Amino acid sequence: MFYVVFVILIIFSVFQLLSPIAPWLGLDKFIEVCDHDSRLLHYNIGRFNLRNYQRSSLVALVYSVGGLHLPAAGRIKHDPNTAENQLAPYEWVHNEKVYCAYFDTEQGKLFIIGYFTLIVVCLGTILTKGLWYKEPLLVVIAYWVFLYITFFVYSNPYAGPHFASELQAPLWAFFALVLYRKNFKELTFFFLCLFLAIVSWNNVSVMQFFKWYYE
Amino acid sequence: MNRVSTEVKEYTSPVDGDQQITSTPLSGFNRLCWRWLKRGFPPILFILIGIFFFVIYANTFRDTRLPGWTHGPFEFDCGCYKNFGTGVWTISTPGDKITKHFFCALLYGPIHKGLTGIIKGMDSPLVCSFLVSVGIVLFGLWLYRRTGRSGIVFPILFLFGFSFTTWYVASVWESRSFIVLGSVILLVSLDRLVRKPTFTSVVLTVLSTVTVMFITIEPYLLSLVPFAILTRWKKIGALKMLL
Repeated sequence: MFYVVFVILIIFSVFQLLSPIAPWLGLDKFIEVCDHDSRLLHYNIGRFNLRNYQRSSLVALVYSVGGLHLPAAGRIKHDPNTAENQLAPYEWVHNEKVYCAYFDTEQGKLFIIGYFTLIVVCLGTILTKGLWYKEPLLVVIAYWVFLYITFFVYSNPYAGPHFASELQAPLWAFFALVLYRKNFKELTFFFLCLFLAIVSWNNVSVMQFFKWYYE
Repeated sequence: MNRVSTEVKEYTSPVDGDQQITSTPLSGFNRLCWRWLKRGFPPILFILIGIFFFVIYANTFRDTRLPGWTHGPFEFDCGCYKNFGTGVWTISTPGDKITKHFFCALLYGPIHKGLTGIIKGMDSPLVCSFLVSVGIVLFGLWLYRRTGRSGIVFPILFLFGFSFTTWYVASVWESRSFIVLGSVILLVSLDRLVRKPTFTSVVLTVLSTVTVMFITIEPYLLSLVPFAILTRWKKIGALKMLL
């Protein structure tokens, strides 16, 4: 409790000190911004359901790592009136079935298989080596991921995958802290290099798509 | 004197399943060079990886016309971060972004000015590329020590750098690039707190939480420190923890 009060006190003291030169750092403005955001995004505890948790978990755990290499039908809608390609209104996290389109491409299939293997291997190692008590940071990271997902379920389950950048470091640290304890180090290294090739291949094609789309 | 640091181990091909290791003692200047290489090479390698990703991020959307506002993954927040970087907006400018992302408003300008002073003629969001690259270097250094100098840190580091959101937010004007760096700082301090739950660790973690809060106001992050302390309740003692 002291800790929470202490952190909040530091933040508001700095804001209050700077408020004469930066009016939007004043306490009144801060409350106004929080109120505006909560009204705009309709924060609601009614959003705590399994479907929203699934959606936010997918964003946090899959899209953040593997990108969004989905076939054109998954994210581009052809408008016959203007003969132009447009972003589909229900792409991304709006449509949870879209992620199934990963299976339509070679790198998509490889990515899903690789990521699934990575998760299974990590969970297996945690269970067999009892890492949940040997490595308390893993528990803290798991809690961090859960917090993130819960916050976005509550505030905005449709938040874009770029929001998940906060979880990148904890997620990869989690995998590294588990995998370095594995017995077959050479095999693990080889698997990670292979997965790296798939992920970078996947995301290079995503960036190519972005460039093509903008131009 | 550490025996390992004063010797070069020459590995020869295994004979009848056994590995023959012959040692050559080193002295003077060679010893110093070897020690420097052993200790200094991994950090230099991590810095090189950071520079590699900086170049990748800065060139991803180079000469690509980016729209001011689109939806979903193409969100650019009306160019406000670009305005902070280029000095069009300052902390005196009215807007909720200053409240929510105070450090972006405060630091994007000076960092952008410094970077464009060194690297001339680039219109890329160098600030964002730079911040994530610094995060990658820090992450690599920490993880390398943390995993007992394990080699798997290298593919993990490249996976981190090539992960979609990291790549994306480092290539466009976004506050999330600063958040990547903030999360690395928070992760490192949480690790220290979990391993050495001392008063100094608590203070450092509180300061890193404050830093992250200045980058982005995310109140749920406040519960990370109490939770981290809770995982060490046996070591700290329940009574001490409550106090």
